[in-house]
Parts: sequence; structure tokens; C-alpha cells
Amino acid sequence: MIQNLARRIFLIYALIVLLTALFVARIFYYSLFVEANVPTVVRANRIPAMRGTIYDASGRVISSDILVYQAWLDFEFLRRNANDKEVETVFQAIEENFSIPKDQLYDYLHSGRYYLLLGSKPTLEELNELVIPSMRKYVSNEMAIQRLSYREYGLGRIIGSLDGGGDPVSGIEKTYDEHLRGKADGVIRRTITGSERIEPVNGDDIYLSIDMRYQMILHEEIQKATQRNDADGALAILLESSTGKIVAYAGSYDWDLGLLGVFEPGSSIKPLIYALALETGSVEVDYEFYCEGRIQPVPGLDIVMRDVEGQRHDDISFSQALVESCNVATVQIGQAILDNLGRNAMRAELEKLGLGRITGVDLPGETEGLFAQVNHWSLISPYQFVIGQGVGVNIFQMSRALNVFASGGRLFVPSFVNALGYGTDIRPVAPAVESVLFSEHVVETLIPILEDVVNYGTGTRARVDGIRIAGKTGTAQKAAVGGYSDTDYYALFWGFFPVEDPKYSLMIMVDTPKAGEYYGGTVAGPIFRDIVRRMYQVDEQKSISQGLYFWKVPDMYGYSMRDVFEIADLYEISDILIHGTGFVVDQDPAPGEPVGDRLEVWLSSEMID
Amino acid sequence: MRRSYFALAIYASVFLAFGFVFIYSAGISMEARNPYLSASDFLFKQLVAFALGLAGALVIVYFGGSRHFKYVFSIYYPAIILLLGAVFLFPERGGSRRWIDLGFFNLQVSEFAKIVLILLLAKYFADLREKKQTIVRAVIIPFLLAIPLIGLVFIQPDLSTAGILLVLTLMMMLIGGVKISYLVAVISLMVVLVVVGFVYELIEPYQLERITAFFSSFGGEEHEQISYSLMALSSGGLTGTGLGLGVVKYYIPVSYSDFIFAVIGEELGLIGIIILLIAYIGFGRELILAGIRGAKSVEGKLFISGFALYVLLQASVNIAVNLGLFPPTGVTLPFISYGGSSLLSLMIGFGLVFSILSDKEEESAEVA
Repeated sequence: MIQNLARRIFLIYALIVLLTALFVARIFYYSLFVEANVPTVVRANRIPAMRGTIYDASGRVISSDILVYQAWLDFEFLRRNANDKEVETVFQAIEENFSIPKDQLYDYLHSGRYYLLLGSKPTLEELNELVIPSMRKYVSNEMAIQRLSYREYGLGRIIGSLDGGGDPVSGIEKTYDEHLRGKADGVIRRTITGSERIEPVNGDDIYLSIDMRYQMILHEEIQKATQRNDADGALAILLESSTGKIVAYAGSYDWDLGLLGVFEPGSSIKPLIYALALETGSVEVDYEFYCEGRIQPVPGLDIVMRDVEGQRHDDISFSQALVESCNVATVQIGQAILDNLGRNAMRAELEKLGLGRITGVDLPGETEGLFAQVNHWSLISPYQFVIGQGVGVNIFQMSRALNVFASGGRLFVPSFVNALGYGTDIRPVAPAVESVLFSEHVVETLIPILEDVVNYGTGTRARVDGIRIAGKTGTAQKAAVGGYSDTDYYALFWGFFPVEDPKYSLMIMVDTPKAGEYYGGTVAGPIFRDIVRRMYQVDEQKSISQGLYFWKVPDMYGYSMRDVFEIADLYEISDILIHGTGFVVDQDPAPGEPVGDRLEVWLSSEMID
Repeated sequence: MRRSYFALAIYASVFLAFGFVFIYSAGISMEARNPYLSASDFLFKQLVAFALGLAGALVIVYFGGSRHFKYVFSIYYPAIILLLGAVFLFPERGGSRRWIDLGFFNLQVSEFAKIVLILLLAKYFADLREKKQTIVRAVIIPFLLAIPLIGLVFIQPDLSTAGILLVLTLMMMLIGGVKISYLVAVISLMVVLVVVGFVYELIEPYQLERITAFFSSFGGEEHEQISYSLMALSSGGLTGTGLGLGVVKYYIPVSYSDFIFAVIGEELGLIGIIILLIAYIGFGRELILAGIRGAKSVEGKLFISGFALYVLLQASVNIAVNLGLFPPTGVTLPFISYGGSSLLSLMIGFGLVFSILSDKEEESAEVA
């Protein structure tokens, strides 16, 4: 009997041992042969890795992550530990404090759901005001991140945005996602004996070349100008001449036409054509042209190209042709280039300027622009190109190409970013020189001509007293069905300043101004001027009587030369020594020093902030 | 026999040590999830249950083994009354009525019902051996004895414990010497009853859901617990992440109880798990041998063997759940999982084992 008992017991025991063997096999498999996809973060006490901060050129924060505190309801814990009355109390409190309907909570409770995000707050204190004591047992608090961006003045379009899941969809956020993205979450946790804290590895910060002050100026001026000119839209871009970095970029369109769209450059392309003609030896600077107001570039082809309003320039020099933006002379220069290089080489040279290819600016989605291959050229095409017709450019292509006159001939890959890095490990992003387009000699030849454009040519409306500006206007008829429109134009102006030591390159485009004026010089020129004046605070000069005391020398920083003379007169100082032009940046005696019988001041068109 | 006592004490100590360490470690993960929980609280409550259990076990040993069988009905009826109380007098928690609220302690009566059932059936089948076996005596009466317990647990509802009680009943019948033909008949009848249960929708929807969710999908939220428990094993690898250093445990919903096995797997690795499994197998073997060789009475042998098989059965179900081989059931890992009622009842069962074994010792001593 006992043997029978023992047999039966050991039969069951043997079955259990066999079952254990199966367990062991499975445990072996999972322990040794399955790579654990271990969650990198621990839900309850992770320290989220933050996305890098985006700063402007002056270190102002534009976009950054902040920590928020979230309250999560633990349904499983509730199911296991709360009675009906407690559940009702907790749900009632949640409905009152987080506005989540009770019915919905009961649905979740019965559905087998584990967690529910109740809400989030910027501080734990604020969150705890909502998580009242009766629900605390069932609610856990976690840290999470939220991105805040300063999106005013068109910055939103530049920096871009993130989708609900924290993935970037556009702008700098997208281009530099790999740098910005948080690298690894950290964790704080208890161990058996104490605690352990692993710091998160945050994403790299980005220091933009965008200067928020200039961005604001461009944005406001572009908005104003669009309204004033009853235009379809307008664009402006400000580059740092010596680096190709973008200091400000604004538009008044609903979409990013400057990057994604194209416009015809019109006469604003001419400085590049004239420089190309000199560089390739197709013309010499002392060449003379004859302009009778119209020209038929291809003999036998019934297409006539005219100057604006059929203006005749008669005998006109190379430089004068550019100053007065003479189309007829320009077509002749185009003819010279074509004769010299042939179609293929001419196209290659124009492509080197950046036509028909992306600039590589660090915003996603840049258009290549429009620039036909030689086999698609008509007979008239080369003559159209040289006056900025038949090609489509984005504003980055055009502004970086023209910037070569301010950068000693260097063509930059435009960029919004000055530096990258985290903490003390900030790595500057060097300006990217794509090529040197023109020799120093050619550039030096063109600069005075471009300055004349502003001083007495088509661009006089862009002039700002005290600041030397070189530039070029452009008025491009908009393409319409079956040719060019007689009423719709792109009004363009590009210029750089100060000429003696180029710092900025600014391009303005106004799309279809309908308030009367439509020339680049008269529509875009004044916008250019207004922007420069605001940049240099020309209109915001101090009233000279402000803060004057007869016993000490006043602070003359920012005063004009005329103001200096006026002050010298007030103080009866006769020995005045002035260096440079523009506005006072330094003085001797220093402000506050006793008044002597001499005054020496240094002026500059560049204000030091 | 002394060797056996010693071995059993060692095994029990291993389990308890595993339990205390990993309840604390899992408690840390619960703490992280909810700041109003504390790992020390989990550990403290378990230590209190252990102390109470130890005291209970000593009292039982003191009374002597044969007495428990004599008065088995005087604990059988109170057990039924307590189960009735849990079902009808005390409030529902999380959709079931399993607990008697003693203020400082929530008693889960069904845990004690398991021990009572083993004791009762051990006594019954020992007595049956003296008589002629009939279907009424071998099958119907044992079931009539078991059904109040199983039924009351079933309507709580606590399907998994009811299932364990049912399997225990069958197991006791098997080791109690019931004819194999009767057992086959009983099992066949139960299959028919389950089918009828499905057809007439007597099984609660959530129980059905658990089963269907398990068999239909190995992904999704329903399966989260299991995928995390397997991930914990993979994360542990050969030697584990080290005590308290597991990461996956933070994702396991009831890491301190039903899924404590996974936490051990993560923090002690394959080596720790194998030690644990060997401990269970060795514990079972030692207990069964001690029962067969050491217990004087047949009822004593049956109880000790039944208790051993119960511990192994429950451990197997729990481990099977952790390994994704069985639907999540809420069955604890004996001696290790957090749960005062479970530990207390196991300690009492263990006390009964020792009291039965010591009966024999005393009598042998007298003979000598």
C-alpha cells in the first residue's frame, strides 16, 4: 500500500521535474540567446535627456526644452488595492482636477489599461495642487520635457517645429536634429544599499548666426513694405559678408518662398555678368557700347530687347552701363561672353555662380531654381539670362552670389549656424567657402561701379548718409502666359555696406507691388535704406542737448560729425580732430573728463553694440 | 531524520532569503512608480507575516501531529464560514471579494483553504484505505467536501485559486489511492462541465478575456507583463545585473508578487534562477521522502506529500506564467512572493509537516 502511495507521489513529482526541465530550457534560451531590448529609460524616475537649446548670435534663447512634471494614474495598482468607494473617490477627484470624465476612467479601469497621463505642470508644486491626497497613492509623478520656442519675427519659420512625438518636421530643428536630439536619458534610482544617479546626455546646443534684433528689423520692414506697396509678398535676407552666415531672413508670404520658390533676378544679376565678362576676358573695362534703346540680339530673329521705357543711352561705357542698368549694353556684353566661351562653357560659368543648383543652405527643402540645360536653350536664351530673364533663383542663390563683391570674390555656402556644442565644448562652424568666383582685381573694379549705382545711378533711393553702400537694383517682369507681364514685376535691390570694410550684404525682393511704383530702385531701394538706417540707429540718435554739463566732456558715442561740431561749438573748443566717417565710436578726452581746449573723435559707419 | 529536518530548514531559509531580498528590490521599483509606496514597508509587512507564521508553526508543532487530523473538521467549518464572510460581508477590491479586513491586515482566506483542503483530504483518504472503495466513497464524498471551498473561492471570483484547489483535490485523490478508472471518469466529467460552462456563459468575461488574450496574441498591452518578464530574463543574462540594479523590473506591474521570479532572473541571472529551481525540486523531494519515511500515519504521509506537491504545483504555475507559458493568473511564488496570507498559510502548513514528523520521532524514542 505504501509502495503504491509512494509510486503515485513520485509519478506526480517526476512530472513536475520534467516540467522544470522545460522551464530550464526556456530560461536558458531567454537568458543566453535573446538580446534584451532593455528600455533605456525607466518610466518612473528617468531624467529625460533634453534637446539642445537654440541661441541667436547674441546668445538669446530662441528654442529650448523645459522640464515638466506629469501625473500618471496607475490603473493596475488601483485595481489591486482600492475598493469601490476608494475608486469612486479617486475618479471624482480626477474629474474635478484634471477634467477627465469619470465614465471614461471607469472604461479604462475595466479595459485592462495600465497607465493614463492625467496632466502636466511646469513645477511639482503646481502638479501637487491637482494631485490631492486622496488620489496620491495611485498617481505617480514623472519628469518629461516640453519644447518652447520664440517664434516671433519670422523666427518660427527658420527654427522650424517638432511634431507631437518630438520629431522635427522643418527648419533648423530638422536639419540639425542629429545634433539637437537628446543623446541618452538619465536615471535616478534606488539600489539595495543606496541610490544611483546617471545624468542624462543632452543634445548639442546650436548658436545661430541669426541676430534677433536684425531679424526683428527685417521682419517689421518687410511687413510694412508689403502693405505699403500693396505687394503679393516680399523677402529680405541679411548675410554677414565675410562668412556667408545669415544674420536675418524674413518674408511676408504664408510659405517660405525664399527657400522653396523662385523668382527672376532681373537686372540684379548684372554685376555677376559684368564680372564674369571681365574675368573671362570677354570684354575690357574700358569698352564702350552704343545704346539706341533697343537691340535685336539674333539677326533674323524677330525678337527685340529694350531698355526700360525705351530709354536711349547712346554712347555708354562699361561702368556707366552697369550704373544705369542698360539692357542694350548688357546684351552686347552677353554676346561677347557667348562669342568668347560658347554656349556650354557659358552655361558652366553661370552654373558656377550658383544658378540651377542648391546652395546647400541648412534649411530642408531648398529648391534648385530654374536654369535650362543648353539643349533646351532657344536662340534668345543667352541674351535673356544676362539681363536676369529666363532663370529662376531662390533668394539664397542670388544673395550669396552677389555677396562675392563684398567677400573678395569668395562664394559661400550660406548657413544659419555659427557654432555647435554643449557646455564648454562649443565647436565653431567655420564659414564654408565653395569657390572663389572672381579675382581680386575684378572685384575691386566692380565695387566703385556698384557704389556709383547707389550714389547716382538707379539705386539712389537706397542711400544712407554716412554709410557707404554699393549695390544694384533689379526690376524683373514676371513671367505670364505667352511671355512677360506688363503690369507685374519683382522689384529687387541688393547691396553691401560699409563699402570700405564690408560687413553686411542685404537683399530685398518685393513681389508684384501694386501701389504705383514698381522699379527695384524705387520700391526695394527705400526698404533697403530703412533697414540700414534702423540697423545703425540713424533715426535714434541722441538729442545733443541731453546730459550736457559744461564742466565735463559729454559721451558723444553715436553722434554724427555735425553733432560733434555743434558740441565743440557749445563748449568753445576750437581744436577739433576727426578720424573716419559715420558716427562717433571713440573720443578723447573720454566722457566725464574735464573739458580741455582740444577734442579728438573717431568715427565709424559700424556701430559697436 | 535529523538530516531531513536540517535540509528542509535550509531550503526554507533559501526561499525566505530570496523572498526578503527581492521583495525589497521589487519594492524599490514600485517606490519609483509611486512615491507613496515604500520598499521598506513591503519588507516589513513580509517580516511581520513571517514572524506570525513562525509563531503559528511553533504552536502547531507543540500540539502534535495526530491531533490536527482528529479535529480537522473544527478548522474545516470555520474556513467555510470565513470564506462566506469574505464573499458576503467585506467590501469588494478591484472587482473581487477575497479579503477579510482585520484593520491592520487583510486576510486572504483562500490561501488557508488550500492547507485545510489538503489536511481534510489526507485524513479522508487515509480512512478510506481501511474501507472498500466505491465511486461514492472515492469520488463523490471527497468532492462534496471540497466543493464548498472551491465554490466559494470561485464566486469571489478567484478562478486561479479555485483551479489550484480543484487540481489539489484531484492530486489528493490520485495519491490517496483512488482507482485510476474513477479518476479518468472524473476528469472526463469535468471537461464536459467546462464546455457547458462556456456554452451557458458561467465564466466571467474577464477570465475569458485573459485566456483568449493570452492565446490569441503575444503582443499588445494585455501581454505586457509577460513580455517584460521575459525581457527581464534576457536582461539578466548569465549572472544578472546585480542586486537592486535591474531595470526591466521597473516596468513589471506586480514585480513584488506575481512576477518576483522575473526580478530574480534579472538581478541574479541564469545562475540565480537555476539555484532557485534546484531549491524547489530539492525541497519537494526532501519533503516527500520525509513524509513517506518519517510520518507514522498514512494521513501524515498523505498530508506531507500533498503539501510538497502543492508547493511545487503553485511554483510551477507561477514560473510558467513568468515564462509566458501560462496565462497571467495571480498565483504567487510560494515562500518568496510578497503576501502575508500566502506566507502565513505556508508557514502553518510547514508547521503541520514538522508536527507530524515530530510525532513519529517522539514515538520512536518511546519505543527505544
